[in-house]
Amino acid sequence: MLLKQIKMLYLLMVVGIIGATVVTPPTAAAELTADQIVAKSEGVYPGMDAQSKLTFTIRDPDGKERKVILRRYWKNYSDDEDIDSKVLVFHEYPPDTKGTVFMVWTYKATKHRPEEMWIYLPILKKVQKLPEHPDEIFSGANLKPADMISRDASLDKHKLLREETIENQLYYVIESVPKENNPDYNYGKVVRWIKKNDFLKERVDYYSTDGALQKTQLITWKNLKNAFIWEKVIIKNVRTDVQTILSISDVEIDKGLTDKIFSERTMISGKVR
Amino acid sequence: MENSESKRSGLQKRLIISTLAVSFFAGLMVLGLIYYTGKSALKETIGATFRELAETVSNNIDLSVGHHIEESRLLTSAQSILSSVEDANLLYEGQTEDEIKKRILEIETRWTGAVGVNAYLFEVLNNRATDYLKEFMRSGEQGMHNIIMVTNERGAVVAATTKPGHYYYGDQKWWRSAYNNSIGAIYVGDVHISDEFGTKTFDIATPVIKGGKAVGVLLMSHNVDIFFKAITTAKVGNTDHVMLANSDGELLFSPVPTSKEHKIDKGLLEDIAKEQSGWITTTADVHYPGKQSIVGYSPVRITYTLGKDNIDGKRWYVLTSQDPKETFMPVFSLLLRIGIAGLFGAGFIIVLGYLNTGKIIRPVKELQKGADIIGSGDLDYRITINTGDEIEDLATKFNDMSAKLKLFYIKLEEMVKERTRELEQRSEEISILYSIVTTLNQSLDIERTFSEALKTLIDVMKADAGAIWMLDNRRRAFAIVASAGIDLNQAREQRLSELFEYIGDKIINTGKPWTSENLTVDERIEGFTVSEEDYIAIVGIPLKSKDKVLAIMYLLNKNIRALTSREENMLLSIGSHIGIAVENSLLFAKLLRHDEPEITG
Repeated sequence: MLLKQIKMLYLLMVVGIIGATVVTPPTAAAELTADQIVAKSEGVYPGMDAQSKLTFTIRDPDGKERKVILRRYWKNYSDDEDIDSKVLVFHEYPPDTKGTVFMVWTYKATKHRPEEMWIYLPILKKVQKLPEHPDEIFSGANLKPADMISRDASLDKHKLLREETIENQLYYVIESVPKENNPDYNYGKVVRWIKKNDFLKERVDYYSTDGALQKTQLITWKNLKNAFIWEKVIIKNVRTDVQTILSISDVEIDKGLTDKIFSERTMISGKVR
Repeated sequence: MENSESKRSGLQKRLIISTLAVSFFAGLMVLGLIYYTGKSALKETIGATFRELAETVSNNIDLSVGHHIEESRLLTSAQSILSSVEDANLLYEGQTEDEIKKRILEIETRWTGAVGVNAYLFEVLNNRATDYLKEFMRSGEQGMHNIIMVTNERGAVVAATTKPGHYYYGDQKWWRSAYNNSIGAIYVGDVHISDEFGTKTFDIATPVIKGGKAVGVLLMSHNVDIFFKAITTAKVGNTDHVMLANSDGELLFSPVPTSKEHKIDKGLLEDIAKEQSGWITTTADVHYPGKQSIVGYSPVRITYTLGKDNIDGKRWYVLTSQDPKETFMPVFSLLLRIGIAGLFGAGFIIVLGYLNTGKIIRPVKELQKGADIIGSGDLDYRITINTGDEIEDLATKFNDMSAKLKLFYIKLEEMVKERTRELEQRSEEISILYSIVTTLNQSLDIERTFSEALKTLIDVMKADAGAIWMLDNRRRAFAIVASAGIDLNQAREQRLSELFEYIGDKIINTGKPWTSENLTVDERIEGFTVSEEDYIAIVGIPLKSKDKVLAIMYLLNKNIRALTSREENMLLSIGSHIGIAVENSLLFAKLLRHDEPEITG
């Protein structure tokens, strides 16, 4: 149980890192390379800080559903030399996990420093630091941390497979293959469908190292105060047929969250002031 | 003769034609009566049947609509639906009304435009509520529902059995009516052509209620053709239609495809738009305009009991009709059969007519033939007809007439003969008179006068003998002074003188002739016997001059001889001439003798 919660925490932290550090707003372009397209897509502006409610609905193949609701606080440190972002996540539902809090600090890629993760379990009434990355955000979520991270475009080789129209919408279809093996990133390749008009990726297919399709991710974005954030995410595991729906609501952008709320004290108190 | 034959055949033809004409008109009247009564009876029966059919279908619609409303309610109470709607509503937390509306419209714009990869659409089509709705649809009749979908409290789609045309339905009437400002109300829409599905659609919208408040709306959109087809399968014939119309006259459902704009006739609408079921005859039937059709109708009760917002404030009416050909087929079939039987009957009538008229015509022909023969003069011909009817009576009259004609003809002949005989007698008399007068004028000798007179009269009267009975001056008594054809022996003279004296007295006394055609049986001369060799017939003719009987001439016949009155008159006249001649002879003799005594009566 603890492990699951840890995984979930990690996911939530990752979600907070969706927005890349690139602040250039997405614009339509012609004759772009695959690298440029991916860079623009991964660099959509996420805002300077945000708070939101995350509702996960996990559907098993037999139709059974379970729900997890989290509240997330995220702050962008794009101007900082070391830290890239900080995330604080409060578990609200189901009741048996209510009060659990996670915190993740992410560092700039250039620092080659892994994320730092903390967890507060009400039953223990103390904050603990997590030593490793979880394989899954939480059990059955179909989401790995890498699925939710805005991956640096330079880490992969990108190839424009085609341009494709789906339901009247034009997409670049780009295949990205990792240049180097990384134990925290165990996909053989990913294929992204990136909208031509605003470079928002709306579909990502994940393939294993043996080339088999593992899952498909669908994303609906929301524009709020010039920032682009996820509003609805669907992840469907092709192998297990488990489906995860993430709905992001009650979003507030650029509310001026301070550094001090991303602390153990806040985790213990369970309240953001 | 040919003309006569033609007339005879014409009479027969006319009789046959008359019989046919009477039969034809009688047949027409029977057919008309059958058609009228049969059609009226059929109208009543089929009208009642159609009314019952309309009532049955109307009840089915009531039940079916009610059933679907209940199903809809049950669906909205399903946990999967409720939780989906509640989750969807929670996503609006923290947003202002404007933000919510703006975001919904953004999604709507993309939904209806460049959809692309749409997580919302994926979620709508792949959640527990949608699975539940799909499972429900699969359990029902295929194609019955265009879509079943659920919206949240904002009108945004949460779950749907197929991709809806829109994401946002909060501006639709069905949604507003069902959500009803979070109070919630059942909404049943009128039949309309759906822009989304391109078919006639009938919607039932039901609020999703949580804690006494509407938190969402479930729409059950029905394909009208399938929804009503299942209900309106009841039939009473092959061509009958069950239709549904609303109070605006729009034809909502018909087994025969029609456009929405297809409206029923205003007059027909007025006739059927009643709260009670019934049937009418009309020429404005939707499928058989211009023909007299029977239409049953019945109101759909549920459209009266639902609120005024439902069915767009209209009412529904079920109509049932049938191809008039099929409706009235039994009558036409009956008429056809009777018509065919009538044709056979007409043929039979012609044959019978020919035979019967032959029976009538034959005696008429016989009558005509007899009339021709009788007319040609054969009054002995008799017409023989034994029909026992008026024609036989007529033939009898003809025969009577013929007999009477013959009798009349005979009498006429007799009259002609009589007249001829009279003329001959008169001519003979004139001839006798002329002869006697001539004889008498030629002699003044009395003996010769008597002799010539007797000779002439015996000859004229075809008598056997004759004698003159006159006063004989020498005997001083009446005696036979002259005779002819008589062998006067003494005895005979004696007997004759006695007879002449007896008869002479009567003649002198009366001055008129005296005749007896048979003396042997004449009672006037009793006491006198007449022998066989004597004469038995006698005529005594007074010979008068100046009314004095100068002598009497007797003419005798050995056979019976009767005189006619004309002969008597003639003899009287001759007697007068002879009397004058006798007087003249006597006067002449007196002149010669001076002493001749006068004869006195």
